[in-house]
Amino acid sequence: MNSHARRIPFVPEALAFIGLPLLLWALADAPRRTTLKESFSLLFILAFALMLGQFYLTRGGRSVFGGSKMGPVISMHKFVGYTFAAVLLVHPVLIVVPRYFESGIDPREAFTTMVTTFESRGILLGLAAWGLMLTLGLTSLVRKRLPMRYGTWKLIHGILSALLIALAAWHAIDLGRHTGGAMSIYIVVLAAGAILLLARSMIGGNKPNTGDK
Amino acid sequence: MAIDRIDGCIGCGTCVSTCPTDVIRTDPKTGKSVITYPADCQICHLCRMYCPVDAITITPEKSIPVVVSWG
Repeated sequence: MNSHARRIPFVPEALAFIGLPLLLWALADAPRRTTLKESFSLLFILAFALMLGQFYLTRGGRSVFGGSKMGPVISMHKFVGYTFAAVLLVHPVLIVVPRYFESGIDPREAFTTMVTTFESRGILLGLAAWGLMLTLGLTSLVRKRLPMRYGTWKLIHGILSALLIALAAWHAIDLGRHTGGAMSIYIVVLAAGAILLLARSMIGGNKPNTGDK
Repeated sequence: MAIDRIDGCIGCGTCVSTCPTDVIRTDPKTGKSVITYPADCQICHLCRMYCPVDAITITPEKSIPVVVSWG
């Protein structure tokens, strides 16, 4: 990445994880719905893309987009992680919220039907990913109180994250309304790249960091 | 065709059971709903209204106006 683009921090990352998904959403042939539903869809797409971006906002992944200093990268990693993990954790509920303004199925019944359709592979993947995301979020929040060294926590965090992104990517491709061909390729490429980056840093790309940042 | 497409089906089968004219069936391979007999669609919107994830799109240009009874 050239130095001009690096004058404003995180511009390449924003283009890759906000701009590109928005472009793919705009160009996709998914049927347009009400403003509320499309707003939720956009929010979920951005939240998922930014979760993919989390792997590139790390010590091992920052080199992909030109490399920022580690302090701002970690701050951004935490901000994006907590904010959009929360969005993704509540997205099953938000999906049924528009039903309060329409006739037809009761929103609570829609939610129950959705999360109890265990015959659906996509739903099972989503439930597993949801549990993993909750675990990742909680263990990050209380990291300093956990009885383990930072290196151990980092290893577990990385393994759980890789598992999460694999399950979540499959879930999104299987059930996503906007995951057509281009969006699916985008997700697969970034998720595979993320897991490779993580594997590289775990196998020996980076020395273990014992500090807080 | 009135029922147009199904995006993001979770395979709960609600639309299959609500459709009065048996337009939608469950694909045994994927477990998801598929539009099998689109010509039979009576544009009643029941499948769309009762789909828990709002996966069904009905083409607006071919919708018939709702008949409202007065008096």
